[in-house]
Amino acid sequence: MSEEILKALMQLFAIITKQDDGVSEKERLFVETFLKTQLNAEMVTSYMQLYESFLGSKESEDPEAETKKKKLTSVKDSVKTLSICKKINKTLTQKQKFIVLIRLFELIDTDTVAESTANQRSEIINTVATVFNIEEIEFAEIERFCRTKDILLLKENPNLLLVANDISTEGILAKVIENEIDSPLGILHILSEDMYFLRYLGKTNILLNGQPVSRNQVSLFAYGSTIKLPQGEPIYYSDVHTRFLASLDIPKISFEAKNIEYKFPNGNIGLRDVSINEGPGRLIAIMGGSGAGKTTMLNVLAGLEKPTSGTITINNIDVIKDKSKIEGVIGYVAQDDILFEELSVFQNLYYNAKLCFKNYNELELTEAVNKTLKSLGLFEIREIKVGNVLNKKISGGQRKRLNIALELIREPVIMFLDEPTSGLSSRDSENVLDLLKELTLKGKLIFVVIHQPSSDIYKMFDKVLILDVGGYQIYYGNPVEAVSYFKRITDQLNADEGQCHHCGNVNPEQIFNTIDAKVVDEYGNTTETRKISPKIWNEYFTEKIKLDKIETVTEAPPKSLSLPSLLKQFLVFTKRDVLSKLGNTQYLLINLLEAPLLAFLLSFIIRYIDDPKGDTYHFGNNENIPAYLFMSIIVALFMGLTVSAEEIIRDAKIRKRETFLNLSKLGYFSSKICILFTLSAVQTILFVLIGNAILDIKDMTLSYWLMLFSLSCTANLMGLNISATFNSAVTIYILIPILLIPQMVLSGAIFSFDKLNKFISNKDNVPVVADMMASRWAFEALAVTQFRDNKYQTAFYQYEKSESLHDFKSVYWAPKLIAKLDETKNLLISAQPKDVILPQIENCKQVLKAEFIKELKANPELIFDETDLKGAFEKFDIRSIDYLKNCVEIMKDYHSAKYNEINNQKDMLISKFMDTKEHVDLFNNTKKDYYNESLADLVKNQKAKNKIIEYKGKFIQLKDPVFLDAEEKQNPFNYRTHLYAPQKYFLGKTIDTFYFNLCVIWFSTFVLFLTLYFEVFKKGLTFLSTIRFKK
Amino acid sequence: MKNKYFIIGLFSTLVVLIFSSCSKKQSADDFSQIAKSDSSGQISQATSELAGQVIKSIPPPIEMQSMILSSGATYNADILNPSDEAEKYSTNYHKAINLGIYGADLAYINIYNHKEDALSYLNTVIKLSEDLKVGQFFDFETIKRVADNNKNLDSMLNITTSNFEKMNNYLQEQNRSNISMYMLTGGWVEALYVACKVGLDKKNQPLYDKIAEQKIVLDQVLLLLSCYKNDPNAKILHDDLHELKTVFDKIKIETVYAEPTMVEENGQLVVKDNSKTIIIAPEDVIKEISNSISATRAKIIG
Repeated sequence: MSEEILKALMQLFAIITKQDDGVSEKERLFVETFLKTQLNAEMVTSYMQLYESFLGSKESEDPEAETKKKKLTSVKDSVKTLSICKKINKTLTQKQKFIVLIRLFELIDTDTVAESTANQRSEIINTVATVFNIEEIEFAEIERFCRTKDILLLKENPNLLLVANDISTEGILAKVIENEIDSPLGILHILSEDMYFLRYLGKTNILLNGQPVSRNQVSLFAYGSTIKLPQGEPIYYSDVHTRFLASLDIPKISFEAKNIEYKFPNGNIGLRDVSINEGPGRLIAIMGGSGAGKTTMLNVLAGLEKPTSGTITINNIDVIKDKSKIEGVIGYVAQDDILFEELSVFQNLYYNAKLCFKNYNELELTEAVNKTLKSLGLFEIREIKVGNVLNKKISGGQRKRLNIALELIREPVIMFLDEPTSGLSSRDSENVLDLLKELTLKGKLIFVVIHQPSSDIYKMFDKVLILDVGGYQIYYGNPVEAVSYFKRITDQLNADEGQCHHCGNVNPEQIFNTIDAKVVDEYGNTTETRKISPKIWNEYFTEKIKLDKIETVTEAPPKSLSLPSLLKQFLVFTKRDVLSKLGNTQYLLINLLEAPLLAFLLSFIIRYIDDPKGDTYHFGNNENIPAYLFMSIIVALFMGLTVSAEEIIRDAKIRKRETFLNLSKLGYFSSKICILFTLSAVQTILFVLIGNAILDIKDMTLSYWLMLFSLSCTANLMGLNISATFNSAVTIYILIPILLIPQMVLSGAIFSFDKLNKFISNKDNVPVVADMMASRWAFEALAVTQFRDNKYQTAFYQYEKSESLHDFKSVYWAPKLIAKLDETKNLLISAQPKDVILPQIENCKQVLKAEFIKELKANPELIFDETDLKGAFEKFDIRSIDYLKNCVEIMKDYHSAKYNEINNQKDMLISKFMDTKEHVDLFNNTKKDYYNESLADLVKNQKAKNKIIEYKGKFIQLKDPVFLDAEEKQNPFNYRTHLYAPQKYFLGKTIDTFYFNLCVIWFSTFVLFLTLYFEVFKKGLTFLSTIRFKK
Repeated sequence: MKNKYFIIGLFSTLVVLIFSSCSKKQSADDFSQIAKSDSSGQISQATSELAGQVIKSIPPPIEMQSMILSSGATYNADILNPSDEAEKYSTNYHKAINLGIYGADLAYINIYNHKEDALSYLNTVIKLSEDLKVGQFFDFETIKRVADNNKNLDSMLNITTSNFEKMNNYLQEQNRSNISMYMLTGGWVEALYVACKVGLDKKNQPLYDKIAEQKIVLDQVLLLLSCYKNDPNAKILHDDLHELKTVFDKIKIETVYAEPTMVEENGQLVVKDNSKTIIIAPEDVIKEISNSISATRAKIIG
């Protein structure tokens, strides 16, 4: 109590006592006793002097004048009282004011002589009560409670609890606890402040928290208090409290855990045969040494971990089996921070609330959030950003309270909190616990894992459950009793003294010292062996402590969750994430500047001018364009990966909680993807705009952007997948190169696909492993579209395509065919044994036949006599070979004529540009601006030594892949072609490579979304790790 | 809030950038228009008989080049067509005729043994021949290997010479004698041009004579070119060379007839032709030829 309050009280006391007949000896004694309980001896005298001085020298006055003055003084005193009370109003809480009021009543009550003439004093008290804003009914109740001579007279007061022996319940509205007691003991419940006061008028020695209760005293019955009766059972605060709760509108819940056992995946036992029965309005502590399994216990009780055996039921609903039925009943506050660093205190709570209550409108939500913030003392800091542990914006206590607030706002009926006080100051810890206590008073059931609580906190708990190493339950019951229990078993002194007689402190450390006591060896050194093993403690427990039975409630538990629709969740997730990202300036700047910077660096460095003398840059002569395409792809992949790789892991803790709330995974992932795609779209467009502008790549912005954006999206999902699979940011960043390097190697840009290890490569198609790489599709699409779909090349593409076809046929294919025919001829006339030759001849026949069929199908203008041809292949003798050779010659001539025809047409077209100097310049400049030589060399496979090879019974064209369409395939799903094919053949349709590849990339994005949604990789990883454990 | 403005600013710049990059498309679309306009017409081909006949009469550039070497002139790369000019030739005519020019240049470089230049010219030759779809006769790897090794220069010379022969044969076979014709003409023009330059520089009479002898070749060339007159480029060349012919006409080639005599050689009787060809090639005519051929060549190499 502060000096000021004490002074105020002294004044009040003085004013009251000097009324009517003036101060009596008894009153003076009361004041002195009261001061003694508050202060030391020295201070008592000084305050007594103060009290005396306030009283003034009244006695000396003339009694007649006194009566006259009486009215005057009373008015004066009333004014004085008012001013004092107003002062008190500013400093004391409502609870403390009640205590002051009770003290005042006690004061009057002492003055038993003046009982009849105490009107003026009563009036003053009345004034005090009014100023204190104490309701009249409550005031009347308090007055009656304090002044009655027989507690039983108050039996009609429903706010009273009677502890009495053999009392008939007839006509009694008060609550009753039957107990061995000589005279009834009354406990008054102050409804508005949820306080209890105790009054006892009997003669036996009753101990309240170890202190004897004096006859006329009205004592405060605070949290965790215990009343000890000489004969009867002790009465605990929680006993009293629950009686009153029953009458309030409290939720009906029963929480039963029966014989819970829990084994860790590695086989270690975490919990053994733990049982709990609890009803509403209890605050239960779970304690134990480190490694005793407290958090495991909490998780199992909350239904986060499945117990190996035993059942946990809430209102007879199995927590594990019928999870959906108890959705929203349980609240869980983990030890981890689940706040968004970039959001303000208000925003954190607001978006959380928005996800929990679908039927609240904006106003209601804001109101609910503000209310919760106020109740947690966070309202003042609501606009402050949360910040992280390193960059502190709000204090640790505030963080913790905000974390609790996230669950509190829902007001779930059962809450589990894991070490809500860890890392907090004792003041903050007490605040947090006060808050929880308040909630239990509203009927919530709260389990708290707590470590080293202070005495005050410890006493707040209704029950404590103590676990010992190995998951043994060794105590479950009243917290103060716990101290005595362990002392008693170990035969310590003062075993019955749970708390200090003088200060009322309980030292929970004592319990753990007792549990953990070590054997001392003959030299006096403590050994590692415990005096009493966990198992023995557990045996004591099962022997001595019986579980309270509770009534199983069968009605459905009240829910405090109404999840909004998927779309709304998605919107809230998105908005929350966007705000959080916008709040992080560094993140924003780096992500938006990354692309332009890389684009500038890359394109500036490779802006190469071919001509050593000139300084005009021409896109056409820049030999670095293929490398630029490749690098853009890598940049797109890299940006996509880095931007997403940390996304999910960063939210892991928040996600855990949201899964607990059963919030939609789809909504969450969609919001992530939506944001990342937008970011990637911006990044890639910036990259393309700057890169292409510097390198003077014209008219390609949209195609480049589409391709790189799609690629970035795939990378986004790759990143999200690894982010969802692995559990540390370091692992993820190590994984990025592992993901990127195969993309580089198998992109087709660095290593030619036909020069890879035989094991993966084949000559005709792109290897399947490369088909898995998004980079390969993007590179091919970019290369093909850049080569083909520019202004220059579109004019000539069709000419050059058929030119290439006919040229290949006449220059490479026909001679190859003739060579094959000659080979066959040699085989036919060879003297080697038949069984060696025949298979070879058959092979040649197959190859030739296939080529003939293909050729005739592709060129309907080539007509040979069908029967002759058939006959030739049937007989396949030397004459037939000569016939076939002749056919090939005809084909060759046909193709060469065709080539000439098309070549001439093309030449005509070019010649049109050769008429004037301006046109020649136009032609040359267009070519230089649009047609890149190096890229053309690449897609025409100019460097290849062989233009045609025989592979797997077919002739494979290696020349001009960019002019060679994909063949029609038997299997409609066979999409495979050579690299740089201008068209793909799929599902019986020819599809332009650019769009086909785009579709493939989006398809892979979709597949990655599925693996993300179904957590394929995570499950795979868990599966792998279980295999290892089994071994 | 600051961030909000930043984002809005960024997006508006983006939009502006994207639009501006799209609007560029409108300009300089003449190219596409010309490319789309109707193109018809067929280049007529000379009969293979005539072509084969004429082509055989055009000497390979190497013939004149070896005379240049013996004239004592030093190597001068400046008189050649620079090797990096090749990409500006777009029509078959330009490609082929310049392929001929580069071929002649390559021969010149080869006889002077300038390996560094040889490679870049070889590259150009291969590039043009590939464009003309006759690149299959070059195996760049082999040629490069040969070129790397100084001793084998002769064989490289052989390879390139034989490759040109193969190309010509192939083109005629493929009914593309026009290309072959342009190639040979190009080679001949370049050889004549170099011979004129060096000859005038060295005042070398044997070279003058050699130049004068080309009068006969020119007639053949003109005869064949007239078959391709519907190729506008060929027509221009034909007209230019016709101009050259008027200069060449100033040269008189007289054959003084003498009775053939029988001479016994290694116990066999051989008829010996005693007739003599007298070429009168005054220096001022050579100068005129040089000027005319330079102009023609300049038109060809562009």
